[in-house]
Amino acid sequence: MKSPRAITIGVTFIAGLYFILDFIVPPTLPGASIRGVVASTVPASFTAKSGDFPAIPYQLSDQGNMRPQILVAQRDVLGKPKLASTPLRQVGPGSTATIRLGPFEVQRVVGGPTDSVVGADGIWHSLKPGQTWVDSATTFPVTNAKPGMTLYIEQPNAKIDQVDPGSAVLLIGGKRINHRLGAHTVAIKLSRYTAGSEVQLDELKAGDTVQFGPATTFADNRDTAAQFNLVITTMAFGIGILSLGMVHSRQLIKRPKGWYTSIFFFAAIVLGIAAGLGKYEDPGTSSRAFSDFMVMRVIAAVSSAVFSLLAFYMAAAAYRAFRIRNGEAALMMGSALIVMLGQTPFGSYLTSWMGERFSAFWLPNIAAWILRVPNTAMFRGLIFGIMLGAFATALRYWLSMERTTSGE
Amino acid sequence: MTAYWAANWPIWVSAFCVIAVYTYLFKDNALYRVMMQIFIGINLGYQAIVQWRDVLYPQWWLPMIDGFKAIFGGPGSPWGALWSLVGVIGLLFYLQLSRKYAHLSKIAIGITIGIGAGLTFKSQFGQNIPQVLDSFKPLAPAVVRPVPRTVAHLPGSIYPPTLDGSLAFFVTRNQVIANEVLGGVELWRTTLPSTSTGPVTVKGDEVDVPSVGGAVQIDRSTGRQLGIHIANGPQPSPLPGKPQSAIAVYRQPQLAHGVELIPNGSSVQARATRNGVAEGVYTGDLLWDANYPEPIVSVQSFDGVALISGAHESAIWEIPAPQAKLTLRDYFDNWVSVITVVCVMSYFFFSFRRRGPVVVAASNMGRWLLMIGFGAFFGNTVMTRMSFLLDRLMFLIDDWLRPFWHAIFK
Amino acid sequence: MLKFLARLDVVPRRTIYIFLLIAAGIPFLVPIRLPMYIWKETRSAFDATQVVQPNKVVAICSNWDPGSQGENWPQYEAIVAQCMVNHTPFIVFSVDSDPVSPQLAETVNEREAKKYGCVYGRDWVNLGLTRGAPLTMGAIGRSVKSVFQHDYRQIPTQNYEKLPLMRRVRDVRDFSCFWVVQYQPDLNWVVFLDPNSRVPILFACAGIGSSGYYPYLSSGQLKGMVVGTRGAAEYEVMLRDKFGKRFDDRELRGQKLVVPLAFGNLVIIVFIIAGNIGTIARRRLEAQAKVFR
Repeated sequence: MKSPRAITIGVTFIAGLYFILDFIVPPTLPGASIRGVVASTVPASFTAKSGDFPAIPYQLSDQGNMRPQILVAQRDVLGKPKLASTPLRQVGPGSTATIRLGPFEVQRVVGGPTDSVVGADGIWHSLKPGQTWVDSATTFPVTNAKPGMTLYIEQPNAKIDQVDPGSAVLLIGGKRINHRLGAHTVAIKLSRYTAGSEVQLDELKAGDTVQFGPATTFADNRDTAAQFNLVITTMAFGIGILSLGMVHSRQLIKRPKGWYTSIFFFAAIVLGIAAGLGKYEDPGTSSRAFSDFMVMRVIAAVSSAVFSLLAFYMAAAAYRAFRIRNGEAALMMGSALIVMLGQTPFGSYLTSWMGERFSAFWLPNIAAWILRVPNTAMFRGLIFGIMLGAFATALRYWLSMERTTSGE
Repeated sequence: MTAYWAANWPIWVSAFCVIAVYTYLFKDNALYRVMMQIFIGINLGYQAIVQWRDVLYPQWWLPMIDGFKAIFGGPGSPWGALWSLVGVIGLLFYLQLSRKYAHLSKIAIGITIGIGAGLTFKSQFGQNIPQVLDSFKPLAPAVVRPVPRTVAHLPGSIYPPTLDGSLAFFVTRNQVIANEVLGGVELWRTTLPSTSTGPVTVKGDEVDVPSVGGAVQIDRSTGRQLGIHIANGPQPSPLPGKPQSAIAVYRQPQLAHGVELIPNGSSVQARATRNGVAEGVYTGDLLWDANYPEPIVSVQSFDGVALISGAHESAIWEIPAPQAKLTLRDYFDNWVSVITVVCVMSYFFFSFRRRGPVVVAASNMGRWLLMIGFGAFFGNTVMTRMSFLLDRLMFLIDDWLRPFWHAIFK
Repeated sequence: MLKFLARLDVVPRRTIYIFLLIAAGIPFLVPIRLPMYIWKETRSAFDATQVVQPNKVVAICSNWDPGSQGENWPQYEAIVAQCMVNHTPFIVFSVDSDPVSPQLAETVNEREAKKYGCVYGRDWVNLGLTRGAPLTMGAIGRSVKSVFQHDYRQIPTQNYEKLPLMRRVRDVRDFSCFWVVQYQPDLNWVVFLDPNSRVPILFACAGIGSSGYYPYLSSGQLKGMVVGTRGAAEYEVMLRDKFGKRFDDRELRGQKLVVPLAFGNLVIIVFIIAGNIGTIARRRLEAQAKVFR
């Protein structure tokens, strides 16, 4: 089968294009956006229906704890179900969401046909058909509510029926223009020194400068894009295990010198899996204790020890390599010695006798100057070169001009 | 002793692992090789479980299952089933291990590379554009002091304007004008039934203006007059045409309480209120001063700008950031910095052959300056490597040997 | 004499190892104190953490692991000690780090909390581990609680009864300053966390990568930096100067490690100088040998 070069080039381009567009495309579609000063707004509203109950109207206006929240079922990064607040423009007629009002701090409870509580705001809050009372974790009948509790009104698994995105009167060029929002319109409130932020229509006040326009989807799907990236890169993890497994299996079969280490390798993988499974057990259990032991006493100890070997190698390498053969080597060695001494208490101990008047010649100050001035400038020069190189290389990889990755 | 072993046997296991690794310093040996294989094996097994439980299971498997359940009538969005395609793409990586189908793995690799390339643009831009700007350092003392820039012209006000969010309310003798403060656009203006006697106060959705006949209540958004509230007691006398007497000092929150603006007649001075608001600047230092075309009624600051108001005209000034007061040494450092950047860049410029003596000299100088930087880099590297060694030595001496010594001899 | 000096050119590596071990090990057995010089970057970081605006918290991204604990552990201890001695509320989390990072951080948090009477949920919250940098960095900046639905102890972050601190943590504007404690902190924090660049970002990093961060200090993208063990020791000195006896430095590692570090560096410097002396002596011997021939 011939190499799927065209497919590889295509997916590479599309994958990169998404993130590049995410960077350069503004939150609203250029050319289709309108910008002006808010004179007044008509809030957005929608109706939501549960089962056979009549549709309940909601208005997204600044009503304190009576402003409805639209919650959509998702999972968090640990996989636990969560309800995430979503702007109205991301749900449309036919979408399923949970509508939540509140919180209300209960003062008095009246059960029975009215099913009402009085909140700390002094207002009776009653349920409409299709709504239930919830606290932060459960749903329960209102007769279980007690003064002092904090409750919400929820309409779970409601189907959004009708949506009115609202409108705004904008001052543009001295004229007042009535702008009706579309179903996917984003409102970006502009300010002087900050990047504009998305707001809801009811959060706008007269005098705010706002930009309305169709949403470009990149900002909305940023989390999903991150999740995709993470899942794809994590899936490659198993190649390392398989590859090493194949190498060690061959060792066990062919039995060259030192083949017995492969037995330890496979035994250690089993221990590692047991340690990994134990990590998620409750503290106090034997499997959790085993996992903690393997991580803190074996993995941590060996990995720190392996890193610490570098100190010895570095000392030996420095002894052998730092020989003054020419001026440049001398300059490098001198700079290294000054920084090494300047970073330790010996540096100030050796030169502080000069007094405050000559503090510029203290070793720590010279070391600091080397790091802050010539080192910074040198790294900056490198950074500029690296930046241009990174752009060029990223462009080459994105456009599949590198043969090693484009399937040739 | 039994109690010692019961409590400390894990430390002995760790110490054994560390010493097994350190045996490599003297010679490559079987103990070291076995310990390395054990370490790699445990790490791989552990990470495999963690990567599944912490990443793939919650972020791929569960959303995919939820999607399939939604297709068959369950709650949630059926789009989650598309994660199964992501699984297929991820499995393509493993085809690298097959000689026959290894080329298919390039699809998955291509996606990863494309994502990396796309992210590179944003991260390189965001990280390094400020670096480019910071490279332009002052090489000589500035001749001209910074001055504020006028960004918007607003109506005059005989009393200090009242700021409320994006709106500012200006009061003339018999009018109230509401302007937004980003671009200076007028929202509404209304004529009062009698002469104004004080500045506007904002109460939620309405604004009140004191006047000779009582406080006029006006709708904040539309400018529609809602009524007049007559207060008990004597009314304040009108002050037509006279600016408010109190000239106060206002703080600039954008600059972390480091700058204050002091109006004086027709000029405004900016002074530092604390040391270090810019390098070399101390409390009380004059940062800049500017003239205003008429006597100033009030100065207010918000969001990095100042609202200067006079009886006939107001303006929004963009306040320049405090400039560092550089000494001779700072200018020397700046020269060193600029020369180093230019020389290092010329050293790495390989696009065409360097012929001119200036370019060749700069390139050679760049090589020398690189040596200083690499030496400093090595000095920092030594500290890092030594710290890892010291951490293990601390463990061996303080956590392992010292308690053992105490247990045996004390 | 020249022959003896020439032998310094060929010192066996095991001799160097032994000298290094002895020089670095002796200060652990014989307590020695040396004066510390405070670097400007460390002082800037200390001041930025000390000046906490009302109703704001210090945010710490603790991404260190057993591989980098040599330098990052003392740094993290010092930062947490400063927050706790001031009773400055702080939140801790890890992004894309080793799974054991939150556990290591919590060990330090709990130990320091006992010294200063700090209470979990009121004075600090450990939000645990999340993944997906660099895009997650932006998500944290926009809404902390949407990224961390539960804390490290599986308490919902919206449970303000158990975690009253989380009531005032919404997004990056509620951070007084932002620390990244990592072997080589990711510069993408500067880009993605706060696009308006208002919150001071501070790095606590290993020495090896610190050279590359000085340009970002110069441009103001970073407001302070604690470099390696040396930085941690300076931090402890500043804490002692500021708080006197209120500051409890028991079990803190910065000052304990900086003296052995100094001796270890000295050994390397001595051997480098000795090696050069040996080279010069050997060349002279060779030159003399040629003359006599």
